[in-house]
Amino acid sequence: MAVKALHAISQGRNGVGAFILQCKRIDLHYCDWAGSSRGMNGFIKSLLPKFAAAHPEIEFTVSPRPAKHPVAIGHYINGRSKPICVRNMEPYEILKKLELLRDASGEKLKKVTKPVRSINESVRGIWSPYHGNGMPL
Amino acid sequence: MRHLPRLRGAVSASLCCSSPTHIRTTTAVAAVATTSSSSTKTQSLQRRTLSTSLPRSDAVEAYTPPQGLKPPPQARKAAVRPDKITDPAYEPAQDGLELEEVGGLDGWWENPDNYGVGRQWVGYGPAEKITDPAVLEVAVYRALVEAMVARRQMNTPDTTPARDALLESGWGPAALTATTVQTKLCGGSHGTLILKPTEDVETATAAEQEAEVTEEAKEQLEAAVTPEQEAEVVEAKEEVTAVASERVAEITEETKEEAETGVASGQETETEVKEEVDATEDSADHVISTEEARALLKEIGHEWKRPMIKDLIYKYFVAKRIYKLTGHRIPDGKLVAINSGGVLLKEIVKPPKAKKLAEEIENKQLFQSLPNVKVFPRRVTPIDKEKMVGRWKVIREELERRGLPVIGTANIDNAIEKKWVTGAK
Amino acid sequence: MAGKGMRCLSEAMRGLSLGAQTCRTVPVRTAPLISRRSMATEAPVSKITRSVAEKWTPITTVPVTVHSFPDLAPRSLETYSAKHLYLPLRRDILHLAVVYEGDNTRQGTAQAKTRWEVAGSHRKVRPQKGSGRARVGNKQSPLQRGGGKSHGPRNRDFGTKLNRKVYDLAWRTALSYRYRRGELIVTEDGLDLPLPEDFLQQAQDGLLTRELEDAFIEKYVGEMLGAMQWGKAHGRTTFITGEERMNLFTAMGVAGENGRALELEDVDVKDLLETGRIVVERSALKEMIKRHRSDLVTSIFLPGQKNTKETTMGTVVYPSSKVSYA
Repeated sequence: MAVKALHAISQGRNGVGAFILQCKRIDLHYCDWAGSSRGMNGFIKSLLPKFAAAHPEIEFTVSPRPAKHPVAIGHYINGRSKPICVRNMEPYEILKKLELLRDASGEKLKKVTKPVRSINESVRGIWSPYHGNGMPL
Repeated sequence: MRHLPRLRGAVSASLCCSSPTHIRTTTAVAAVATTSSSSTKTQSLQRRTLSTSLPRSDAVEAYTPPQGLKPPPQARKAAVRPDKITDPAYEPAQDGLELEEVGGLDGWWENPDNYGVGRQWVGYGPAEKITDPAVLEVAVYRALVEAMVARRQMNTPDTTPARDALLESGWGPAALTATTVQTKLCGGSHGTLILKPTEDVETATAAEQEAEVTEEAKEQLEAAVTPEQEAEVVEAKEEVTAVASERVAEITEETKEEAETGVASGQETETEVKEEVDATEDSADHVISTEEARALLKEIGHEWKRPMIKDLIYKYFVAKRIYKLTGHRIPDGKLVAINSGGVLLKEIVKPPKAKKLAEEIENKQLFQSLPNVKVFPRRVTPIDKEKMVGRWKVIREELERRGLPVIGTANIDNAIEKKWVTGAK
Repeated sequence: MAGKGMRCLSEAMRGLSLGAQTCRTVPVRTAPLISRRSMATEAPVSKITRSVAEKWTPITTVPVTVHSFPDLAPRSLETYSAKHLYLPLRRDILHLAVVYEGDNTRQGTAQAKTRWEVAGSHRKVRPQKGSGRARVGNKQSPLQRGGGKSHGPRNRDFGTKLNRKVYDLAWRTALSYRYRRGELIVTEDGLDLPLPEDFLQQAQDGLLTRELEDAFIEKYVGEMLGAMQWGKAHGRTTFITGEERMNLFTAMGVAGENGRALELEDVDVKDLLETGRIVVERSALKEMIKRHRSDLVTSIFLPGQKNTKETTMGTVVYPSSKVSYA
């Protein structure tokens, strides 16, 4: 029986052909009274208008959370969310955190131990003990 | 019984000696006296001793209450005897739990009959601050004109009563505001604010021409004027402004004109001045409406906003006048930075700072054009979240159907089963 | 070679020296530069640059309006040196002063007994050997119940030091901070709270119980300060007077939620920084500054020499007898 090679079909992957931002919503919470929210309040006033205008694909909600530290929560299309406490941070530090939320995939953080990671199958195929010549003893 | 030196009494206020050593000695005497004899005998004039005891009954009887303040009823030391009770609905209590609390002096002063009326604080300015920008602008302009008249009068002696009357008078009739505002302010030869000479003034002096010079020519003039000349110019300018301000003086109060001419004649007396001041104060203060203010603003123009205000006393007069007219107190720290009519106006018209971030966002319309930003003025509660997805109605119905509290726990304890499961004791 | 170098240097130095210039104004080099080069689009002259010809005159004095107290009518105008009431905000110096005050306010009277101070016999509790139990010394040992404390608190002075000039600067910085923010209100001398006459009369006649008096004062003062926008809703108010004023101090003691009253002696930098505003009588403000200007006046007096570092304080501008139209 002639061995037929399988046709490789391009798999749907984010970024191939189209890119869908994983972050769908960012919630921003602040407190009017507490000092740890000073940077957050400044951020909402000064930097958020520009940031939100630059990212129309992300929904932003701003709401107070009295007597709590300020927090930015990213919500992702995989259903997960990523909260970051931004207490006592300066507006530009918070901007960095928001960029992080925007760029994150929403996946749980994993420890990367292998130098190379790929979803492409190996060209050599999977090793099988029943095939090939084996090792002569 | 507690004795504390507390309030300075009405009588003692007039008799009081301000020297601290004197007070100290009387206190010592009072202290010795209170320890030696009963407190009623040793009531010092300097310091009244207060006690936690009940009011003296003899004092209550002999007392006629002054204006408005009602003293509390005399304390009752014994209950009314049962046979003297006239109320047919009275039923004696069988045990302590049935006893009702009657009377008492809690919230005694909350009743206006007891507290008296007319105890509100009366400040120098109006009770309510004026916030309408148009009215404020007219008020500022009027203050600038009147303060300038007052400032100019400082060179002539014996005008203090008239000046104080001018600075401390209220809005006066509506016509007064209108005519005061007709007086024009403009930049003088040095870029400072002056009263603009009127067209009907025929005395076309050199100083008058200088006062009318435009901004472009100002610099050339400044370069040309030496310090000696400067003093002359100032004097000449005063003459011109004197003529100009006579119109103001005629209308606002005759007193000022009299005070000015009084320098020459020296016949006016202060009593006359005061009488006329009283006469003007009798007329009710008319705070102009927004429409009136807008009409006046067209006359006023914007010429007065640019020229410099440098003189400190003038600034003080202006601040005082503005406080009287509008209720806006300009703090001294801000007075330093105010150097023109425009800056002054901006300082007063400035809306109060928003206390909450949501209010500020609302005021500044920060996210008006952004459809992807939602701002909530208060905390988004779990109920709000349910409402947003339209689930709250269902939850409410289901909870009500089961007879469970919709909001809160209705003081129901934690489930007892939890203890069984967790094994907690 | 060395001689030539020296000559160049001296020439350069001469050029730099002030005497070489006829006038000390900075030479403005505008016309030749522009004429040499013409640009298609010339950048507009920035407004932040100041004309050199215009003399820079820094603020040396600042105005202080003196108000009458209950109605806050402006009564007179005084000027103070900018070094007294218009200093820049220095948070670090304020922090130093507040910490210094806090340290020196600590009582430091906590005291625990050591094993040597606990009363009782120092007899050995039980024999060293043979009981089958742990060896013990006396019962004052820190390991024993009722024994002494090993490293307990001792009476001590927590006070720290701060240079007088720094502390004085902090004091005036605190006043300046309040002044700049418009939170320093100066009143005429004899600042007191006028309680209604009829109330005082009744209180003096002993018609009111203490509770009723307190309730009246609380209501009256609360309403008054509320109307002035000085009360609890507006951050409370500190009143500072030269000496104790009966009505004011009693009233603020009762209506403490709306503010506090302090004698001049009791005021610290921290008190000046607390509450929404400071209301101080004229003489008290003067005295405050007088006591805290060690960095402005010299303490060394030489005969026939004036203290040149002295600055104006509380000069009455209006109303005064001698005035001139400026």
